[in-house]
Amino acid sequence: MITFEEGEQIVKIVRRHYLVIIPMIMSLMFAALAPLLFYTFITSGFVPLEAGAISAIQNIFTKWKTFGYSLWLLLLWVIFFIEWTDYYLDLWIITSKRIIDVEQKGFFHREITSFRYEQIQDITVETRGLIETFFKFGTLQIQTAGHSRDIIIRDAHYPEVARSLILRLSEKSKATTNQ
Amino acid sequence: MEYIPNILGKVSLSGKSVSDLILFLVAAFTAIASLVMFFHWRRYGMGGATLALMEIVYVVVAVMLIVVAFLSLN
Repeated sequence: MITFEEGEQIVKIVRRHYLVIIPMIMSLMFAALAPLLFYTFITSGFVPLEAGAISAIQNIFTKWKTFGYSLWLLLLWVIFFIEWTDYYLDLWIITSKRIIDVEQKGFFHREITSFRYEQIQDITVETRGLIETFFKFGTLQIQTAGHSRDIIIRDAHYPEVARSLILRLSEKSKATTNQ
Repeated sequence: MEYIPNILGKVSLSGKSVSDLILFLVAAFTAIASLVMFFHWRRYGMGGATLALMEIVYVVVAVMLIVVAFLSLN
């Protein structure tokens, strides 16, 4: 659970671009259609099978199609939501006092790192290729003092906007500290 | 009734028993995965309408698919 300090407000939540889950959705849709394609392929006569084998497959499909297909779809549905959870809960919370990096690495593996604006040394935005440029997403990397590694969010939506916001809040925070 | 070959030598299972078992296992897996997901969403999801909507859509479709599978057995 993320606990916020007194007077701390969420300014922006940065998530990965929705385009990064499209390949996963496409493969699940293909998996959903796979049994139907398999059945059509087998029964169309393209595959040289004996009539007995084809009739056995047809028999299994006729008998178990509703049961098997609904369970197959259910499994794919759960897999989709597990993947979606991984995507959706991988986020950066930019608050008025610090940045919280929540990284969902698996179903039971999470990493939560938070750092204050005073620790920020450099922010880099990297947009690579046509798709990232066209759909406005990229990698946002923050170098911090006191952390052994850089804080990176890949495929962040509008990374330039997030960078400007973080720089503005960082300057504001430093000005408040100097007073 | 159609019987699956008795490979264990002791137990004989009908096609209905096997499909009942498969349905139970898939439903149990769905229930456990759903509980873990809802726990994650509530704990780390920062609230919001998106998660509430996704939760409803997820449950409705999952329950519908389990019911369809169950009814197709009878």
